[in-house]
Amino acid sequence: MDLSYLPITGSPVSQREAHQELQLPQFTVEISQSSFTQIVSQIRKKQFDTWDWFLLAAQADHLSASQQHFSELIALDYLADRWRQVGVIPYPHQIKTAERVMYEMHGQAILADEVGLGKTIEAGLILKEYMLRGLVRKTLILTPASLVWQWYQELYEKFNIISGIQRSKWDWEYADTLIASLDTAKREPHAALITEIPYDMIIIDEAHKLKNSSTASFKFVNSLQKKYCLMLTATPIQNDLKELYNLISLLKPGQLGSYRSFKSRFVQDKRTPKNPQELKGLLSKVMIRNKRGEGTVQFTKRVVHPIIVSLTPTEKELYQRVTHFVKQSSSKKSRTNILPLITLQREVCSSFLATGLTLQKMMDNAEEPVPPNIASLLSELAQVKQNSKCDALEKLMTQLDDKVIIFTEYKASQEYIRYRLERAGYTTLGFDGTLSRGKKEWTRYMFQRSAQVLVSTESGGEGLNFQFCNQVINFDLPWNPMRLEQRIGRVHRLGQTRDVHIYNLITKDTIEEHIMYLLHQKINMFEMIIGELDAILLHLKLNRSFESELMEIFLKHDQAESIRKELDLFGSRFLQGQKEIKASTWDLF
Amino acid sequence: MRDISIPDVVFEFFRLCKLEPLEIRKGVWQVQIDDVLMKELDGWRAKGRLLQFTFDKKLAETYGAELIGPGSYRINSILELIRKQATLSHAYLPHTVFHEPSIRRKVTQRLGDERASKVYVLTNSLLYDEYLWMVMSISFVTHQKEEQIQTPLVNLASGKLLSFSIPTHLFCSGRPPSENISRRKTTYKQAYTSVYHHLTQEVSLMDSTWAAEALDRLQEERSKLEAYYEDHLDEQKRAEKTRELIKRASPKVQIRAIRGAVLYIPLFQYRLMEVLKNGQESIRTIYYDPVSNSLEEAATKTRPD
Repeated sequence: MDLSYLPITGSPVSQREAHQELQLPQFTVEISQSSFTQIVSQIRKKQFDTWDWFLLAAQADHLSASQQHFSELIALDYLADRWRQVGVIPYPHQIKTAERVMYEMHGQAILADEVGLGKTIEAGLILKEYMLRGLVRKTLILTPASLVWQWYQELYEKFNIISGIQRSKWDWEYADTLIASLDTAKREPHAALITEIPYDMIIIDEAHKLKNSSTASFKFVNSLQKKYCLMLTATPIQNDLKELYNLISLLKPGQLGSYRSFKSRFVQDKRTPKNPQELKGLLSKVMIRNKRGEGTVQFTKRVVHPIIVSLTPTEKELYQRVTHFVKQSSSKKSRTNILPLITLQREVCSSFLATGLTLQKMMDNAEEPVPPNIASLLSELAQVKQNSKCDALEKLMTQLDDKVIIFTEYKASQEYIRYRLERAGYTTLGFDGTLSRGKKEWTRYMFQRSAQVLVSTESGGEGLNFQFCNQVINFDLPWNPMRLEQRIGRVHRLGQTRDVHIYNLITKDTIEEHIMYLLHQKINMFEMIIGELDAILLHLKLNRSFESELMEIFLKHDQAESIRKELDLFGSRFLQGQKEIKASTWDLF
Repeated sequence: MRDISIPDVVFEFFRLCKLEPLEIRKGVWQVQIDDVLMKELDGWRAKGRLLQFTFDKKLAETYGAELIGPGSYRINSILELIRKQATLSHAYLPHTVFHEPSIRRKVTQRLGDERASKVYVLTNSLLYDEYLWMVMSISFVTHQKEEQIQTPLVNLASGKLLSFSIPTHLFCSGRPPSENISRRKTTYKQAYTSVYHHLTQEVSLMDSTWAAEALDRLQEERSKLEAYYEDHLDEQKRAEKTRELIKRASPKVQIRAIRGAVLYIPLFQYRLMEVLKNGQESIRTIYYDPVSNSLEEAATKTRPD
């Protein structure tokens, strides 16, 4: 069939066109000239369409205009069929958020929902609504580089918004909806090009990176020309009320007054606000924070299954020798140089293969002569033929007949696990940071469609969502609870309809057992509300130093009882931080 | 324009695309759409398929048919495609729509009553007046946007702007068969100028509460912005942000021509003999415009060259 019945005779009338302005007392009247000029030029060229099409088009104009009078979100009806197909169920808090942003905040808002409550869906819904109403055409979405692809996919799948991913400097002008990494955008020559473009909407994901007004990112975003702006962050406040001030001023300068007046009106000390109610009132005009447990969203349960693995005497002996080597070496090194040793200590709980590779690397980097203990450790590692943890994993797998994600921190462990499971007859896929975006997406698709097991390293824990799976096995435990949370967060989030089962493989009488004690029994992190954990870590300034603090405990103490005692103290500090957070401020939203 | 319903538009769209939807159940239709049209509707990735649709939400849920209702994706994609078509057309109102003997009677009667004379028709002929019919979009923009469609009509022979709605369904596509068309005395540009003057006048008389509210909001935001820059010495930044705020928040009305049509409407020309009471005779040429129901003397009309 050809399209001869579609009588396109002229180019579509441009949205941005020459116009003349007439100033009336209360508003300006902009009269477009170019659209009429096009019509006249068609008359002169005698490019007439049939009357039937013309009448139909005029009727369509009337219908389209009448749809804009709706006081509800028109995007909901528009997307209903699509959402049914892709299985998206909008939650009431998401719809309410979109309505508030549209009608009360006029398209300028900080979406500060706790992690996993669907900030991306809220932002997509708002963007789509503005697009359907003809208010937004040129959009820029700035995200961390690791989330660019996810944004692209979510916008297309869930909102039918076809966007571009920035790859060259020409893309800024070319694409109507462009997704780019903030780090790229703020650099030249990009920054200069972007600041020249008047954007209808700017969306900034992980906006907490803009809390410091002296950073290049802050200055860059502040220089952008924008009509509507959405900033997404789960942690709008971390350490200092000034950060909150900066974030809001970036969005709506003056909402909290000048910094001087803000300080005198609202700051008692940098962590405690004065007049919290008044501040809360001002914040609620630009910020929306939906929390879990407020009755808005029902999340499924997390069921934790610790699985204790006993090492064979040979493995145990080897573990002791590696630990001894770590302690011995660390006493000779400065604090900054103990990172490889921390890695080694963690690896030994994962697999001897991973430990062997690190030792090999240490030996290669060591100055001559090669330390004899490394060489002997390596040769002993090569002798070990058994891996009790993998045996336990295989046994566990026989009890699970659904899809499973196995997380490990190390590539060597990942390969070994895959080898063992493939040998046992399971279909497995590998997922790690070396995969390109496309391959990651393809792997996710294949996992959903056919494979039973996905073995992922830590980097695979970020960026993609696997709500279709509800079983997670932690082959080894990261020492930082945030990383553990991110792993679980891949499956335990909006869209998960079943309870999530988390199997933690813990080697008996090793550091791992202590870690599990701290995370599970002491601070009960598996039961913790998601947004809470990062807030506590940031509050205690433990975000980066968590692992080194643990390492210090393990290096200083040999006896299990004394380690336990130290961990109790550490855990109490954590719980105290949790209490402080609950009692303080950050109940501003 | 008559009341417009979504089903009317959808079926008319399929008719013009030479497709005939089949009602497979009460209220559920299906139509085979080929690759080319599907790509026009759903973008370049789409492929031809059997489209099942309904206008009823319940039926859509029951049978999994696509819902075509207010705001739905499918009605939007159809409307968007339709709106890209036909920015210009031309049509005429056939003289057969009117009953000439009645017009003749009306003309003679009216003139006779006015001047207390007797009027006889010597000859009659047909002429067409040229009109520019515009479909104009008026958008009221603040943080939100509301669009209205207006369809003013300008008589290009007289330059008069008419605001009544025309019976579009009675028109036939193309130029009239007769070449007797009144000479244009108004250019298209003049016609457009009078259209937007008229629309500007109209919007200035409309309820402007929306603009007053927007101005209040703008004022409030502006004072906040001023407060923020109290501590800052960066005048350039302050000016930039103020400009941005005004651009974003100030109320405006955008008037834009979406499409236009040149219309030809018949004009009945009568050469009359008028006999006054005192016996004086005169010959007059009168034009009767059946759309505005007005009579005009020949002095104002000339035949085209």
